Amino acid sequence: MKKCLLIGVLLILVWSFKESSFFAQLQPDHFPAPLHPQLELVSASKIELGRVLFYDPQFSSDGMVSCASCHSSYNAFAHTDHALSHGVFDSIGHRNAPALFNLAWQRHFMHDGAIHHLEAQALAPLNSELEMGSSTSEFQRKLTQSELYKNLFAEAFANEAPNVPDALEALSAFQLSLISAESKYDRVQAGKERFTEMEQKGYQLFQRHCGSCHQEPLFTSDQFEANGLPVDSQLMDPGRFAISRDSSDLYHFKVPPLRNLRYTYPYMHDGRFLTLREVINHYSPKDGDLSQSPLQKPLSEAEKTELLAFLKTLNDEEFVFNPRHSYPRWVLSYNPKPHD
Amino acid sequence: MLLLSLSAIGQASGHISLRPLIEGKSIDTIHGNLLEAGHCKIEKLSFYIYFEGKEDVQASEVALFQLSEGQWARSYSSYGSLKLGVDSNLNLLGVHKGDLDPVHGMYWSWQSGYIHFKLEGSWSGEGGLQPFVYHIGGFNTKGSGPYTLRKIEEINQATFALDLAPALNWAKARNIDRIMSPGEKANAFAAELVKGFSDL
Repeated sequence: MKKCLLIGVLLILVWSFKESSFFAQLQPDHFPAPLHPQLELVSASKIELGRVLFYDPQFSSDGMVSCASCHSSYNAFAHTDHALSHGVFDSIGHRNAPALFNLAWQRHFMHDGAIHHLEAQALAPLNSELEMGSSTSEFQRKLTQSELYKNLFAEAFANEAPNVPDALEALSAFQLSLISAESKYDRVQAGKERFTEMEQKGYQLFQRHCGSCHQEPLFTSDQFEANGLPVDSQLMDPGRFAISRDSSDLYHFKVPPLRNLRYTYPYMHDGRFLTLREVINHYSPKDGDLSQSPLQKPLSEAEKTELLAFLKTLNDEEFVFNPRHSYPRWVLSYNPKPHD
Repeated sequence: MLLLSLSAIGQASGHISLRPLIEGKSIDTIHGNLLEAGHCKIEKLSFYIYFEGKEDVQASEVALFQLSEGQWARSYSSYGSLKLGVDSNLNLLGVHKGDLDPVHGMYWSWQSGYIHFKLEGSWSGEGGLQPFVYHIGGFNTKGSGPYTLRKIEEINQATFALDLAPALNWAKARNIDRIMSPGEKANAFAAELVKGFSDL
């Protein structure tokens, strides 16, 4: 009996070590310690289950919308060229779909930080009439009916039947695995490559004018700031204030990470700027009027070009075209085995 | 209404050019400009033209035309038919580079493939601006794209026109200001687009 118990404890320890080390394998050397509190729960099988769920449109009310509809892997998990998110029955949301990567280093999710836990985040679009238009109970019902999910849940969660809490954990695991850290900037940091003269000048400008909010190496502070934009009269978005009810948060939005900007246009919380040049001109107006926001800085046209050159070094093509992040094509030819 | 001229200059040399017109008048499509015609403003117009290989499908080519680029001339190899949209074989293969790079904003999803045709703008009237968004995609259901515009034996004209009026009027008459999913509405809108393709 004691021998069996000892073997069991040893097996658990080995499994725990394997699980806790899984995310560590993904952790870039030059990144700080992750902020997510339960990375030891991440495993390969949960990531794969999460990936299948992420791309599955059957959980939306019209069967057309999945997480990936607005967060396409080939667009750094943003919705390129779409100012506002799309949802079921051709509805249009209130904000631009944020890009998804390096989420293990964030504590606040959504533009207004309405969500504090990545595991809970998926409930928001699932239940939103403008996004997936479904419900938690409907999610559970569809999970239960699927042979595919019965098998995937059994593998990921030690023979548990499909259930919503585990599905949310798997979705979180997949999103935690979306790590972008192979841009030219990252290679320069690792000493493998060098900036051009223009990129280096842009880097210095960035550090002087932008780096306090868009902090390296994640290029966000994970905090909320006023971006100085005029309020859109149609959307009337109060930003962080809608959550905190603190008047000092009015029109504050989460500082977005600046990686992969090539793929994530249009920019800002409402997607009002189609090009990076427009964004830079907002923070440094051509007419020199810097009275709109304390964030505005005087930059010459040459300096703006240098800044753009640096920002381009943050594009991570390895991340965008990583097949581990894309649609799980094996699902198309999946032949479910009878489940015990 | 709106008219796009698509001039095929010498099929043998493989060059095609498109020059946007509004009510017969040429306009400049400098980046950021709006197309305006009567009560209609076009802010975004992007579409794929698929040059299907004459005898070998492998020789097919796809060209993306975008108002924002103001580039309406493209070279091509010989083709057997001219289509609006992206071929289902290409959609099934996944993402591609070049004109089919999703960075251009024409990628829809794995289930629905690329967006064939994208038109965004607004109507102006007594009630103010009424925005519209038409993203026409889909490749694996009956009636979905790509949509044949001309077969090779018919391509003997120098110039074609793509008049957007039939599709816009069809949608306006039915108060349809959004089409963003594949399905019956997208197919019906596309059918009107095809009707608007004609010899000039």
